[in-house]
Amino acid sequence: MNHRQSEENPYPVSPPRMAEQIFVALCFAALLILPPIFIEPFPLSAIPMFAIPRHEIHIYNLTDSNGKELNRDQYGLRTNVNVYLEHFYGARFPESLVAPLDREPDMERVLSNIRVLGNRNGAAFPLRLTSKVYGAVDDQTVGLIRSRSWMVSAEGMD
Amino acid sequence: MRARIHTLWSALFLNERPTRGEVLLFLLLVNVIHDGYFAFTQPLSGFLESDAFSPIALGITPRGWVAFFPESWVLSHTLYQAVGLIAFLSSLLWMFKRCLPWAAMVCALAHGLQISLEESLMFNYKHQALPGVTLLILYAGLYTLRHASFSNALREKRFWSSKLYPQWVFALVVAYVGLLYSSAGMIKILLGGADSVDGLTLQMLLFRASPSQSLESLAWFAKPIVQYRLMATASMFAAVLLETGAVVAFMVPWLRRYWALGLVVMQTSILLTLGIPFKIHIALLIWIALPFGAWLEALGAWMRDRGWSIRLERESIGWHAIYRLIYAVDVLGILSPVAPREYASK
Repeated sequence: MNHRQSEENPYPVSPPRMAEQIFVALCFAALLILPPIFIEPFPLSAIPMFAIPRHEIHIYNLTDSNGKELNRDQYGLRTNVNVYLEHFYGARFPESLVAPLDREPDMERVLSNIRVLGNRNGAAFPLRLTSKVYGAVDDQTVGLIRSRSWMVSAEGMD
Repeated sequence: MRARIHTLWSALFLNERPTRGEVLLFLLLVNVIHDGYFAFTQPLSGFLESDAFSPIALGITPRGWVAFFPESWVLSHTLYQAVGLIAFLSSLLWMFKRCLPWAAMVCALAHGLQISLEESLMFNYKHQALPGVTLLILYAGLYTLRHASFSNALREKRFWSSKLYPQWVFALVVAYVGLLYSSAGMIKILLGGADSVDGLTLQMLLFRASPSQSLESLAWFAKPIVQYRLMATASMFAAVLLETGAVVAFMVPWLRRYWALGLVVMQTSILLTLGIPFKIHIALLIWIALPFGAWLEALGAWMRDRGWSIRLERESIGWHAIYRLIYAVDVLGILSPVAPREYASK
């Protein structure tokens, strides 16, 4: 407490105790030391969203023979732009077979997985998988740049 | 050099009036009250809508402070409600300065547990909640270490007029927020290199977040960024620069305010384009940028000078308990029986 403070404050405040100095020192040390040691220690994490550059994004749609849209997460077609953070999520979902998001996946593996899961879940075959690729359409803006589709029957691909 | 470090270290333990620090604590506690009430009152049907209970979920991995809890506990609606109730009640007690320092410690613990339970049930990430938990731990430490002087000041009704709040609270909050942003910026540069400031990446992220992947379905604020690459590049460059330089800029007093306001603009843009509510971040940055403590003290002095103070008779037993509660949040000092000259600013 300096002289000016003691004049302004009629109630004296005792000098900081050693415990308080240790607490403050530990807080500063924790800020500097803990994040590099632990990658994801709650509540000290700081891994940002949207940290991976994306120049193209593939988005998949799967429909059955009745036109009903099937769950992308269930069939391994999830395209999460924060896919590198999924490792830290609490709930566990089926692995995405189309990540990383900005390049062509192993389509044989993707289609085989769809066929196996479709048979297991009693889906109405044939299933139609559509891939839409979004990216730069010119030097100004972005949009759809190409699309493809596949038909998956219960026994194989058409 | 050693003498300078000693001077800086000693300056952290100089005291100020609690107004500035209590404004931030009030905002943090309002957030805990809201979240705790939501958890406590959430019906079972709402709880079962968590990702962990989805038919396609393969199980859970408990996260954060509940990492060592049995899965059955993490999946328990009753435990979630109980933790929410404890967070709700302890935050109210802390706000009204009752049962200290225990209410502060329990509140920080319960809020961290609640966030950890929620994160363990999500197929998502909740790092926008992390500063709230960290800062509650910091404030709980303050209220524990300064319990004697705070309780004496509250009992003698001089809490708001005395200089009993250490300046390390402000210093630690600023350091924490600066490091949080700088580490985020550096990780972006490490992962993306030169592409981390690429406008195309920002355009793709905004486009992906639109409901039907079309220009028409974009939020109005996002449309010009997606339509003009130069604007997207400028926005991304500004964001990475503001984030990475935060810890250095926050050390320069005159620059801190403008840098924090720049980050407010960035966070508000994220809210308007992607709809991600970094509400605690925005509150923290505004608190760092603007001198709310000084403004509130000036407003209180102005009101008292005009005789707008409310004087309750302390001898009136019926009002005593209510008076004590109201005094705990009387940041303007208009209920205090202390003479106006003791509030006068220097």
